[in-house]
Parts: sequence; structure tokens; C-alpha cells
Amino acid sequence: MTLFQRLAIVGVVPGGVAAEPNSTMTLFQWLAITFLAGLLLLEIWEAIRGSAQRSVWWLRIAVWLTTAAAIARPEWVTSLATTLGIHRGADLVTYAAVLLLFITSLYFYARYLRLQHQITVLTRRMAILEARRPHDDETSEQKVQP
Amino acid sequence: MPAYNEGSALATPLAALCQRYRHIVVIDDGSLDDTSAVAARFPVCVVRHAINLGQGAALQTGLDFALAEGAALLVTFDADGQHTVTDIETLLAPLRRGEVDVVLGSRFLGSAVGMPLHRKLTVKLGVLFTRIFSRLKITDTHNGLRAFSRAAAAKIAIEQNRMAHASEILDQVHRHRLRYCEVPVRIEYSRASLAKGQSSWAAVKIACQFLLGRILR
Repeated sequence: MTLFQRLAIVGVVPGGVAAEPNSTMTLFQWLAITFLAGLLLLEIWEAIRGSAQRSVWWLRIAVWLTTAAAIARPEWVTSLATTLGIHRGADLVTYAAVLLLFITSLYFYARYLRLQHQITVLTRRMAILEARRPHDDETSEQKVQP
Repeated sequence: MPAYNEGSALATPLAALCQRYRHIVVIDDGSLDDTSAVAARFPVCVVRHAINLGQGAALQTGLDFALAEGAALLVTFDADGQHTVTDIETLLAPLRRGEVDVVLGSRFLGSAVGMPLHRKLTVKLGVLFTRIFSRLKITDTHNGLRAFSRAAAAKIAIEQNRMAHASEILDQVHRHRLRYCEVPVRIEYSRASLAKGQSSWAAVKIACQFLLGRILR
């Protein structure tokens, strides 16, 4: 079997036949799912301790579970991509990653703006408290005109 | 008067202002030069930011300070010497008559000496941008010479620390339904003020900052 045929079967190049779902997982799948299971356990531990923010916690759980499902069952991603008219699961993953990157950038930009605002308020408060008025210092060269 | 690294230019406008007015506030926006020391030689209040925040932040600090000190009418004035002190009375006249809440200086109703063509085009594009997004019928934008009544200044809350504050102020004038008018003022460009001024590319950045700030507010 040529390299092209191998790539076609796994869906890397177009024209390939979708691989039959394999009941045995690859080494990569085992490693990735073990890692994601570890993350899930950590999330659950945080929730039990009560230190997790509820809204963000659910979002993170959803992301880890979706990622685990996509790795364990790549054919699910392919069928979802076909349903959406994208055809290839790899393309769907790429589009989702770009969209997620964009949303994440906006989220961090909004956080940066909030942080900048806090620094501004603090600096302003300090500046006003430490303001120097004309009568504070008698070295002013010019006198106030009536 | 917001000032950043204006140690060499500040003395001239301050001397002219001190001849006519008693209550002047210089906001040193974390300058690296002797701006604060130069300002301290005059009978003015000096408010110094510990770090550089931007002209918008400096203006808001000045407004907050002046309001806390009991100011009835407030004027913003650039520190680089491009404004004319006698224009302040032109700005204050409509406020004193109680006709408006905000007075905006317009170099296109007055005169702009030594203004390069590319700067003129950039400002005109800014005017168009303001007319679209803030729906204010004005002839000039990003002009540092403005006057506010106490009530109007209390409503203005500048959150755009950098140069997008000028568009934000106009946006808030519209949002708070403040009465406004433009008066002719004279702006004299010098080599130093042009060197510190905004490039055309910066104008695009300012527009993006303003729009993103609006979305993420």
C-alpha cells in the first residue's frame, strides 16, 4: 500500500474511503484520553473543594469531554462535519480551532482592558492624593495675577 | 493641561496661561523628563501619574481633580504650545451665557497655521467617522481645546486611556444629550508639535481602539 493510499484511508488527502471504526485505540488515543481524564478529575476535585467558578467550570468540563469524545471516536467528528457540509473531520477541527482562538483572544483582550482600567483608577487616586498645589511650595517663580 | 515629556515646551504656554488665569492644573502623565519640575516653577497645581497612562487618562484625572476642587467651568488645553490662550474666552462665552454644556474648538472654523495636507485629510476622515458613529454635526475632531460646564464634566467618564479619548468624549456628548457648539480657534503647528502628533496610521489604530472599546465596554 502506497503512502498516498494510507493517507487517503485516514482522511488526510481527499478521495479516501472513511476508515472503519476500530475497536482498539491507538497509543496516541490512550495517552490523550488519560491526560484528559486527569484534567477532568482535577476539575471535579476543584468543584468538591468549592474553588471553581460555576459558569466557567461547566464550560471547561464541556471542552474536555468534547475533546475526549473527538479523540476516542474520530468518526463522530467526520459524521458531524458531513452533516454541516464540511465533509472532512480534520477541516471541522481546524475551523473550530480558529474560531476558538478568536474568541479566546477577545476574552483576554477584555480582561486586559479591565486590568488596565483598575491600574488607571489606582494611579489616578494616588496622583490626586499626592497633588502639589501652588501654596504647597513657595519656590514658584511667578505670582498669581489677580 | 495634560503633559507627557513636554519639559522643553511647557514653560511658554504655562507662562501665557498664568498671566490670565489663576486655577490651572498640569497633569504630568508619568513623564521621563523634567515636565513636573518645569510646571512646579509656576503657580499651578501639578498632578503626577506614577506611570504613563495616556492623554485620555490624564484628561480624566484633570477633570476629576478640578471637579473635586470646585471648578465651575473647565477647559482642556494642550501642553505643546499649539493653542492660543485668547481662544479660551471664546470657548467660555457660550458656557457663561448658559447656552450649551460643552464647547468644542474647531480649527476649520478658525485657522490652522502650518497644518500639513495629510494631517488635514486625516482629521477630515476623523470628522466623517464621528458623524457616522457619534452622530454629531461637527467640523473638527481630536482638537484638544474644549470647555465643559461642571455638570457636563461630571457626566463625562473617559475610559479610553490613549488617543481614542477624543472620539469617546464626542460619543458621550451625544449619549448624555449634552448641548454643544463649536467655536473658531487658532492652532499653530510647530515642528515639535508635528513630531509628537499622530500619524495617519495611528488614526486607523485610534478608530479600532474606539470601536473595540465600545464593543467590549
